[in-house]
Amino acid sequence: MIKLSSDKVSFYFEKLKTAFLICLIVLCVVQVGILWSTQSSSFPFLSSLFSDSKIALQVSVEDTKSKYLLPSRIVLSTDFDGDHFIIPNGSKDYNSIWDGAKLYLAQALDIKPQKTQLYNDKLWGKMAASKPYMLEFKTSVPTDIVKWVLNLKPSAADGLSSIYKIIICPDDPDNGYSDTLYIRDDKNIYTYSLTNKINSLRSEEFTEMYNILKDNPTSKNYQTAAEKWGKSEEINFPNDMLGPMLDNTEETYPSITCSTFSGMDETDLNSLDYEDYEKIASELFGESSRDYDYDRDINGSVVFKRLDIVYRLYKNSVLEYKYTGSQSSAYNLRLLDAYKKAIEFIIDVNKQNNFLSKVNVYLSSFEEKSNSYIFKFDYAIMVNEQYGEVPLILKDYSVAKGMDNQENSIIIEANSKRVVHCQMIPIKFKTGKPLNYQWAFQYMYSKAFEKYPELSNKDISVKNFGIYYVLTNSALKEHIAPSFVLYTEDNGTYVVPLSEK
Amino acid sequence: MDWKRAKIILILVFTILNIVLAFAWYKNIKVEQVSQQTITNTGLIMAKNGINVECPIPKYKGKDYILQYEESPLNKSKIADVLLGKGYVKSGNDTYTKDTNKLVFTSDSGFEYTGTGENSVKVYTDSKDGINAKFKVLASKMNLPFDEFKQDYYPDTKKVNEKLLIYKGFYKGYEVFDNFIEIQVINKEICGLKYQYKKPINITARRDINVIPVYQILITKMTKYQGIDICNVDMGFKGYTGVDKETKTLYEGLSWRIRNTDGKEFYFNARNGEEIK
Amino acid sequence: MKSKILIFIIIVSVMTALFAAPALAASNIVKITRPDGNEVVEKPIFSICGVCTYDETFIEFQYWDKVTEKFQPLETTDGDLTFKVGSSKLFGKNVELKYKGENHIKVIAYTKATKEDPQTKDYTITYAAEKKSLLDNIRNWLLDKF
Repeated sequence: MIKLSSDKVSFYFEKLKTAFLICLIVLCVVQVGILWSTQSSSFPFLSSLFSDSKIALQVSVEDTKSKYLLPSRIVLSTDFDGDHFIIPNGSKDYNSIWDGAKLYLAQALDIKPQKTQLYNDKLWGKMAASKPYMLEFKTSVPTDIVKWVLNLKPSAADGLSSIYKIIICPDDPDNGYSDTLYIRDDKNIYTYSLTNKINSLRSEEFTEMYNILKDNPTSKNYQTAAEKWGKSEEINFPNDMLGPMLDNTEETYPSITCSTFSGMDETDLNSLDYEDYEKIASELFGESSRDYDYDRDINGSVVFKRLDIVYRLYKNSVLEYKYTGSQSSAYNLRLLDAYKKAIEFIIDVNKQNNFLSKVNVYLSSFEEKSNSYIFKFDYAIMVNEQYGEVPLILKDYSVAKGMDNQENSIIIEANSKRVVHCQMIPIKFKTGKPLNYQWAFQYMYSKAFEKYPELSNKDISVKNFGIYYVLTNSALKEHIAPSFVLYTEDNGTYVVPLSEK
Repeated sequence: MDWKRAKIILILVFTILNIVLAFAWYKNIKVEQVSQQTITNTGLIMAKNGINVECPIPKYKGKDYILQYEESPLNKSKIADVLLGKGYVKSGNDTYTKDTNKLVFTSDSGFEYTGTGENSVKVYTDSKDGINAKFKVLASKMNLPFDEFKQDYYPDTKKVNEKLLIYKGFYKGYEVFDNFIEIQVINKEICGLKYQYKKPINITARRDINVIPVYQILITKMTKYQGIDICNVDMGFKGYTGVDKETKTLYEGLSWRIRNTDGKEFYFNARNGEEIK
Repeated sequence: MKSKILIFIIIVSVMTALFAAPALAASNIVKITRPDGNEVVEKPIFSICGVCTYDETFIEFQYWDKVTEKFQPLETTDGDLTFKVGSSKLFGKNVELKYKGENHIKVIAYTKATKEDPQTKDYTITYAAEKKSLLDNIRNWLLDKF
């Protein structure tokens, strides 16, 4: 009997143990399920470690301000009818010539000009062709800004209001063999004769650079329009316009692909959910993405809101920033202060995302409004040290219904206190396979006349031309290739794509 | 197979696992709470700075949550019918008037009414419950989701005949501060009505982002307002409003609300401590 | 009487203008911007550039051949004997000078209408060898010797 009952007891005991085991397993699964749903992949203590981390790096505007005042072009010339080499932007020669030029400028901006004369295109063209160094900015940069970037002390204006192009001639035979600087602004040519000798850009350095350029088959050796058609009264090219004027030259440019945010297609926008907004926000703002509330407005644009700040991302990949806080107008509007705010803004953009990592930003123009200044910048895509950069322009780039087309890569409206409005193109550019192109100015100019018959109908006055990557709305999905772009005085832009060799 | 031994071993293993999981769970909850000592210290610090905190201070410092909204368009004609009665005139883009009564639609999701006179807005009572009941009827006539609101607080208007009732939105146990109703009753008539509502759809937890506990905000941000008495501190959803163009879908995070005895409310974004005006 | 003479003069001047215009036009088909008159150059490759008046112009170059004592066609550096300039009206071609010293170059320009009566312009381009410094000349002589 006892044996039987102990069997039964042990039998039930085993059953009990099995049941208990099953309970425990179920309990485990339930607890894991609860823990899983209430937390993400990280453990609780880890998340508290990261919750308060902010951007650690503090790159100040004083360190990087020189990045935003770079010459758009540097030319090394031997003589009229001689060689004119375009120094690739970002190359070693470019940096050493610009560094030397800064020394010459520093001295010149401290003294009064030896001579001031009204701008004369023929005279300037002759000097540009015959004197060794010419540096150009995309627009006439006010001297206040130049002095701030070069850390020169501000002094009272002595006539030179801004700097557009600089010609440097050490030991200038036309000026008593003194080191001479010719600076051009919108109105005049200023001649500066420097007394303190500077040990840069002298003839040994020039000859060294020249010899290397001459031996390099890929260097761009151009001619000026003055040397070919300077005598014409019917066609008035700017005398210092440079290019491969007559014979075809072979140049290499990479094809460019653009990438923007995922889910920016028309069809996709309606189905964006919270995770998509988070992804876009972290691409745009990095660590600060959690500070924003997300929205979608009635036009389908993605909106990121914060106190006093609204970002709006339009379907065509235009990012708009607006300051919505109150503004007092009880302060003076100063150009240099507004420019500093604009540059700080661009630096902040660089800190938060990497859209501008492969791109240099150049000031293309600015204008004064009643309460603010509007600065317009354009990108130049960095290729490599050998080929330099290729500038980018926007054409027919629509933003949204009821808004003007986006004309420049970055447009910033700022006053002395802050940036109040900004519209920019946050697109990442990837350089692909290098392709060979063949072109000459006269043939592209002729092609422009065939493509745009209206050019022959009016009295066109050519302002400038260049090779640009042209960005349109549709180009976002395709490759962009280099094009010949002709600018006319009446603000016309005529685009002819280059043909591959 | 020696089931007996296997079972004993398995029971042991799972018991240990359960204990570990329970411990993790407990820690999870514990992490989300500030210690009582900190709360007591906060009260003392605030008092030293001349601010009297008369209410319990929440201890929450856990995850941030996201509330998703949807637009909920108003039936403008129905609302105008109820508040203004027949014979109203559209006097502006979003303004309807009748005699001295004015109804302005501030957006697609809100309106403001001022005026006297129409029968429907006479409530014939001074008591909060009475006004509440009467407004419930009005709201259903205007197709307003009154059940998604709850009574918030009653500022003392210091006037005998005037009562001010404030309701705030309510969803899944959280307050939604951006949805509100303000009813101003003078002489047993509704003389002023403010309404703002966007429909909450769901609440999700935000990964890896914890809120700043409110005691930190009290110490760092509120000490500049000397001499006030804080009578209420709570948490809810409030976002940045006042953006220029109309929005469709909305996501908002948590915010802290601090209210003083005068009825002034201070809102702070719970993620970064910024004051939301 | 007086009025009759006046009318006669008017008719004559109008007719002259009408007939002279094409003849004058023949000398205004192209304006040559380089060479700028007769030039002295230091390199054998020379640019001939200009601006045309009409939408379609044909241009040829010729040089005075010292052997045959005649003007021969001068090929451009990209192999053209005749080339067309379109609506852009702009052209520029490089030619190789045949001789050291004086080269007589003729530019011939015509439109479809004035094919039989083209505009011609003559230039004398003197190709002076590159001026080397005395030191360079001595160095070259020494290098040649050894």
